[in-house]
Amino acid sequence: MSNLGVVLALLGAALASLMAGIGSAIGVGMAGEAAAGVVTEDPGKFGKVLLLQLLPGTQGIYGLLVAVLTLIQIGILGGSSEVSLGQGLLYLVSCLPIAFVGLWSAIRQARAAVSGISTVAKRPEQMGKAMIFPAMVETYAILALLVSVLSILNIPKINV
Amino acid sequence: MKDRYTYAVARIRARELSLLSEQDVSRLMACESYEECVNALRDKGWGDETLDAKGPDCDYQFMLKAEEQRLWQLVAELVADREPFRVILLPIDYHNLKAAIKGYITESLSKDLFMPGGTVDISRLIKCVEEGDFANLPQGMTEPAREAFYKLLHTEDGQLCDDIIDKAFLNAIKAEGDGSKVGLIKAYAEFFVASANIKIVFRGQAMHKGREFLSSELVACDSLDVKKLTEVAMMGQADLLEYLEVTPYADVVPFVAESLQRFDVWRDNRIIELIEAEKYDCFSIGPIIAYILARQNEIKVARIILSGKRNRAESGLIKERIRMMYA
Repeated sequence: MSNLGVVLALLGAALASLMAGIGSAIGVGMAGEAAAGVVTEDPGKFGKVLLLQLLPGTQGIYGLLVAVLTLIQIGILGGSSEVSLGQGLLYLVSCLPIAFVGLWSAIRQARAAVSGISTVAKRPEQMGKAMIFPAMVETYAILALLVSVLSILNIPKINV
Repeated sequence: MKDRYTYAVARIRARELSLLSEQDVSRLMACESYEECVNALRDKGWGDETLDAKGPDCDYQFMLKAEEQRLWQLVAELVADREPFRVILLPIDYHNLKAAIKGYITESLSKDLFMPGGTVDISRLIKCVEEGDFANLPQGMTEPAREAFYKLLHTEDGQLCDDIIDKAFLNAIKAEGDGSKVGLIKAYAEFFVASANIKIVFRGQAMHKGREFLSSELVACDSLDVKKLTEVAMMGQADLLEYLEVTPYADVVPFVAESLQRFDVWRDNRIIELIEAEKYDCFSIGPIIAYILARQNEIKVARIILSGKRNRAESGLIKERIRMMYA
């Protein structure tokens, strides 16, 4: 098991893209149901509800970004894949913030987006305010992304 | 699945924009004639194209019936399973049961007697009554239907038939509330039974009915002590009102002291207050139930205004029967 480091790092990348992706899929699907409901009654609101539907989709992108970054760092996408066990473990741990926060925040953001869609259905002039509430949830996904990215970029500097 | 109503609730939210508001009701009240009132409702999208052919002086019942059908059509589109809505469909089922039994025995069965949207198919109901075999009816309806049918057949007492079905109906509502996990359904069922008990007691007093009648008609509920209610009812109206003051229904006192018609206004307003919270829920069945109740309420209000305008009733008389609006 000389490549256990690579395995652990890959596990981290997989978790980042899987969990954040699952969260986004659930979230965008949930908001999509609500958006379809509003468009059934009023097709003119398509543009507005589409924006709200897309909000929980960003976590999936963050997960993908962290996964790709990890793959580059460990040499799977170009270069040689020589990763020690300690470094592999560090990559795995670095991927966890976006994996867990991505999953959870996408679902919670979707609930806020569905509520926003309901607001737009009744008061389309309040679109801006309806966007702000789900957008606030994004903050925590961005913070988790930052922690994951900064950690991954700095792991090669650590001797383990 | 907790969130399986997301699509339906979003549609309901968009639909809520077309509900009649207090201002719309004031506008209808301000109409000088019945025809103007019908036209105002047509402008709001009420009724269907057949009404245009009939003209504005047509019977308003056509318009209201079309609205009721439209409501149930929407519900059928939104949710395939009607089971969660049973608590609001039961009044239709039991009304149709009464209509079928009475219509058959008095040989006056007609399509117009029935209300659309119930869980029991009308033709199935008629078949059961015609064959005198009620086993095919839903559980809880079979026995009271049989009893009401034979009592009416043998005694020709329509009131007795109504009482039997009404009691079964209240028991069914109570059972529906007890068996539901949805807060709104529980609260609605409890309020429905409690308010029905209050009405039975006051109606019983007005008709000089005895303890036996009240004991057989009242249905046990959590928010009212039915035994105590019967006792105070036997003591007189003042004692009854005094007792109600210490129940969760203290606000009914000024209404019921005035008339049973005002009691109905109180009851409908309390239901609207009960469903208010559903305006902020986006995922559960609550907003759909709230919308159905709100639509039924506005159809009732439109009926009151249109019938008042058609019969040239005094504006004050119509106004005191107007209910609170959900929109």
